[in-house]
This record gives sequence, structure tokens and C-alpha cells, in this order.
Amino acid sequence: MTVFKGYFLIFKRNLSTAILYFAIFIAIAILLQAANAKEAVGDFSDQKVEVAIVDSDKSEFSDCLVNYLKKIHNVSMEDEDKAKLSEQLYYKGNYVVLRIVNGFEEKALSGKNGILLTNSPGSYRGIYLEQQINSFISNVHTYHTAGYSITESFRKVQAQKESKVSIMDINGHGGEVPGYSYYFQFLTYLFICVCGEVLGKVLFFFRERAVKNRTMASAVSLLRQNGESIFAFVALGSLVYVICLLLAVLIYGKDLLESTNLLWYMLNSFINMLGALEIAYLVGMLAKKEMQINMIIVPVSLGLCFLGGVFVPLNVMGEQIKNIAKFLPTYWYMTVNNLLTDYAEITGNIKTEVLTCIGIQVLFLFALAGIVLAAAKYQQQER
Amino acid sequence: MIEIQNLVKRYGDLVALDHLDLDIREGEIFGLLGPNGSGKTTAISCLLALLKYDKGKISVFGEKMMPNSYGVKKKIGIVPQEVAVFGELTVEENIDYFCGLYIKDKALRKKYVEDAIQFVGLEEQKKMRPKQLSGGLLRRLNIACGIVHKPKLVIMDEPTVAVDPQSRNHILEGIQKLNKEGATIIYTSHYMEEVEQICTRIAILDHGRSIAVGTKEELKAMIKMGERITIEGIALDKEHLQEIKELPHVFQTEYENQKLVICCSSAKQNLMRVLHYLQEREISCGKIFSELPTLNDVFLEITGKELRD
Repeated sequence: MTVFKGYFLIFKRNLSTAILYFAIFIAIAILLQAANAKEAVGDFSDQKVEVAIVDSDKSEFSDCLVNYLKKIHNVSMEDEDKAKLSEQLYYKGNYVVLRIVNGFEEKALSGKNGILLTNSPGSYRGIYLEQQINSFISNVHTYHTAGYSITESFRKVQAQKESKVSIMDINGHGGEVPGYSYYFQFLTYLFICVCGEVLGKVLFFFRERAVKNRTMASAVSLLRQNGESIFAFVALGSLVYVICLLLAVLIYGKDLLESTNLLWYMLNSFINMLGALEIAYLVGMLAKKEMQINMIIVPVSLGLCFLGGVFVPLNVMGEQIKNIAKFLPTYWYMTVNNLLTDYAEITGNIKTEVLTCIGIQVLFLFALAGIVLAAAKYQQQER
Repeated sequence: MIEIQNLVKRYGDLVALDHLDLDIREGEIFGLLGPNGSGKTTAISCLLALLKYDKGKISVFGEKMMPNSYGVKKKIGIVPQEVAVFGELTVEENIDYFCGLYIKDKALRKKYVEDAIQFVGLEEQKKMRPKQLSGGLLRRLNIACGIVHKPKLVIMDEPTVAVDPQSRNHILEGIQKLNKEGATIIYTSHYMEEVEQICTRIAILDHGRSIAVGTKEELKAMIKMGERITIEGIALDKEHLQEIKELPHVFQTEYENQKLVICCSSAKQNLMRVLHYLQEREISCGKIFSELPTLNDVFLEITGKELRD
């Protein structure tokens, strides 16, 4: 197993490149996870508005409205002082002036609105507040029409429980994208870079003319040399794969381990890693100089990832680009990854779709293997 | 030990080996001498079954040499022209790796690696990477990787190219030591001085053909020239030049810029005869020296061109 061990030894010497890629990758994954978490919190938070109320009606209904608003916003009662209110509107962004005009109660009980709202230009808060007031007036009006007094109607409205909304949690994360989904999304880039830059280089060193000749002239059969070489390549690729999985477990812990799609993620990324290995093998075999490996791997990895939807989501791509992307294995990897993100359980049609995409990736593996063999044969004939 | 018969190798229209015949005996340091492009490396590559050839027969240790002759290959060590080592591994790791292609036993391998390091004198550099070594030390590492498994036959393809004189001497001494320890050596070079210094038998190659084979004495005996006498700072007229040309055993003279070169066939007292003639005619001169023929003279006389061309 000299050749096999040689691969591991030289891989060890190039570990710094791999570590660099791992570090960049993990940093990006963690940053994306953090950004994702902040976004999720912001989406569902309640907002309190600074409301200045000028009550000119001073009726039972206007009192009820003021009490209602005090519960959900920061309310201050003001006199009709135009200069002061304008100043407040100018200096405070989060500020709305609500004028309850004389005759408000009468209008409201006949189902009309009797309020005037003023807010900073371009602010959505006025609309937000107006919707709440309209809803309140409408509810009180409904109870009043049914025979309740204004105060009773107000209490009824107050007693109303908020409707409970059940969201169908298809992806098991309340619609949110789990952090590890981003991890697996970018994993394909890491695989191509680490396998290409490190393993491709290791293979290149073994295929350098002088070293290859010396090895070919040795007592180890060509079959054994090639066998050990491929075995070492797959073993090193698997090692990279296992390290990536362990890192994912370290970063996402229980969240990932409890994911119902974990095995699908593992299968999808394993096939992707095999594809990256084949690319690395091809590059290591065809490169004439060491620096050519980097020159090939950088555009190949970026091209595959940009077109395949790793860096740019597939749903924002044009149809023409998507049609081109279908000829890349990363497109099918990302399609599976997106399905695993969107669905907590892979069954029925979704399972068929996932299996089809994985099948297409396997076909890509065979096609790449064919290219590798053809290139190897061409090189052999060239000798 | 090695028989190459009627070997032909073509690269398209170019004939790299043209019906080459060689017979190398056990215990020899056999030199393959020839200018660049004469077919030395191609012959070695065919011998090692690294290259397919168009015609001919090669047998090593009595067996027909094939790409899968692993039993034969086990007894061969190769020191290629280019330094064939891994830049990522240390000196020790490189030697151990190449030893591992022949020797499976770990303990024995360790001993062999130590022996090889000692043999090439890289004890102090064994933890260094090839990039940290000078050209000469790198060549020594290249040799260590080729001889570490103690092969019976060592093939060295121009092992001293771009090497400083000190390392060159170390390498040449090492080759002779290896030979004394029982290894047969095939040594290719275009440096005739090296070949003359260490080889017991020499084949001169040109255009893929073996144009002369023998010991250096046998090769030199093949040619007319026995001695070359050079006289500098001498003023001669046509008459004197003609008289020198007519001296016994002199077969060629060249006179230019007060420098006279006299080529004599192998005979005793050629120099004395020339000196006597100059004394008799009272012809004064500067520096006089006499040289025995070199392999370059052999090559020149057979091919009509310099070995260095």
C-alpha cells in the first residue's frame, strides 16, 4: 500500500490549503445562519407607534378608542397646538397625530370614520394605525347595532380573543430556512475547492513525468498502482466528507441531528463529493504545471456554483440560464437541497422528484468517469 | 545480463533508435556516450519497458523485458535524468517511499533508507524538503531513491547534469563504490571525461545507433590518432611546415596564429622527434604539450563531428 500511503502523506502536507478553505466556508455558513436568524425575528415582531391624540369629540366612543389605542401603542394626549405637533412630526420618525374630530361618535355609530391621521411622509405607520382603528370602529359598530351600549360593545371587543392561526409547517421550521440548509448549499463549493486544489494537486505530484516513470519502472504493477491511487482518492474524499459532516453536527447540533431529512442531505452531499473527486482527478491528470490546477479549479468551481444556484438562488435565474444550468450537476444538487429545505418529510411526489435529481447526479458521475477514463487512455497512447 | 538486439524506435518520421545492438555484462559500469538526441534516454526507456518500441528484442537477467516483468524490475534501480522526487516530502520520506515500492518489510526498509542516506551523504539533510537542497544535493537524493532497495542493476541517466564539481566527484565515487559492492551500472552521459573516468566498457551512440563499443583503450585503438602535440608561439614558414608533415608517424598538421597542432599515429617518441627537429632548425617556441586521444577524438574520427556539437 505504498502508493496509498504516499497519497495520505502528501495530502497531509497540503492540509493548510484545505484548512483555509474549511475556515472560510465555516465563517460564511455561520454568518449566513446568524443573518437568517435576525431576519426571522424581525418578521414577526409587533411594533408600537408613538401616537399623539387630539380628542375634540370627548364622547363615550372616543374615550373607548383612546383606551383601546393606549393598550397597543404609546399614546399621549395633546391639545390642538399645530406648531408643537408639526415639530414633533418633523423630529420623530415614529410619530402619528390622530385627530378625533367633533361629531366622531355620531359618524362612527353610522359606520363612518370620523378621524384624521397625520404622519411623516413615506411612513407606513399611519396606514398600520388606520387599519387598526377601522377594525375597532367596525367591531364596536357591529355590537352596537346588535343592541349593546357603546361601553358594552367596547368590552365585548376587548374580550375578543385573537384568532389563532395555524400555519401548515411543511418544512418543519415554521417556514424558516434551517441554518444547515445553507451549510449543505455551500458544501458543494467546498468540495470542489478542497478536492480540486488539494487532491488534484496530490494526484498531479504522482503523475509528474519523472516520478511517474520511476514508479512505472518499479516492482509495483500498474494495476495495483492505479487501484491504490483511486482507493486513496476516494478515501481522502470520504475523509473530507466526514469532516464536513462532523463540522455540521458541531455547528448545528440537535437541530441537524433531529432533522428528518438528515439522511437525504447526507446522500445528496456524498454523491456531490464523488462528483467533486472526479473533477479533481481530471484536473490533476490534465494539468501540465502545478499552478494550472488553481487556474482551472477557480473558474470551474465558481462557474458550477453560480450557474448551479449555489450562490444565486435558482428561483431568481432566468429560464434560459436555468436551461443551461440543467447540464451541470450542481443544479441537480441544489434542486434536491431546496426540496429538502422546503419539505420536512420526503414522501410521494417529492420523494420521486428527489430521487430523480439524485439519479441525474449519478448519471453525471458516470459521464465524468467516462471522460476521466478517456483522458487516461489518451495520455497512455500519447506515451 | 542485458541484451538489446536490433532495437528500432520511431517517433513519427524521426528514428530515435536505429537497429541498436548492445550487450551488457554483469559487474560492468557500462557507459552510453553520445551527444544530446543520440538516443541514450530512449534506449533506457525501452530497456525499462516504459516505452513501446517498433522492432527488436530486449532481455534483462535472461528474461524478455515486458511492462509486466515485475520480477525483473524488482532487481533494477533507476536514476532518471530529471530529479524524480516529491517536493512535499522530506529527503528521508522520499527515499522511504521509493524503497516501499520494492521492499515491504518495514524494519528492513528502515535500514535500507539509513544506508542510502549514508551512501549519498545526506545525513544532515534528511529532514529537509527537496526545495531546500542545492542542485548537487538534489541529484544525490535522486540517486538515493534509485539505489535504496540495493538493486543488482542500476540505470543512471545523466545523473550529473547541472551538478557542481564537488557533488559530481561524490556521485562518481559513489557509482564506483556501488559497482564494487556488486551492482552492474548502466551510465549514460554526454560528458566524455566522466565516462572515461568510471566506465569499464563504453558504447558510443549517434543517431540512435551504436557506432563503437569497447573499453576506452579499445575505442581509442580504433582510431588513427595516437597522440596530439600542440606547440604555441611558434613562427613557421611553408617549408618548415612541410618538413614537419613529413616526419614519421605524423599524419596531420594544423597551423594558425602561431599555434601548431600535430596529429601523430600511435608510436613511441613522437614528441621527442618533433623537439629534435625544432632544435636542429633552431626554431624557437613557447608552450609545448602532448595529449593522448580522447573519446571525443574517437567520436570525431568516426562521425566527422565533435561530441560536444
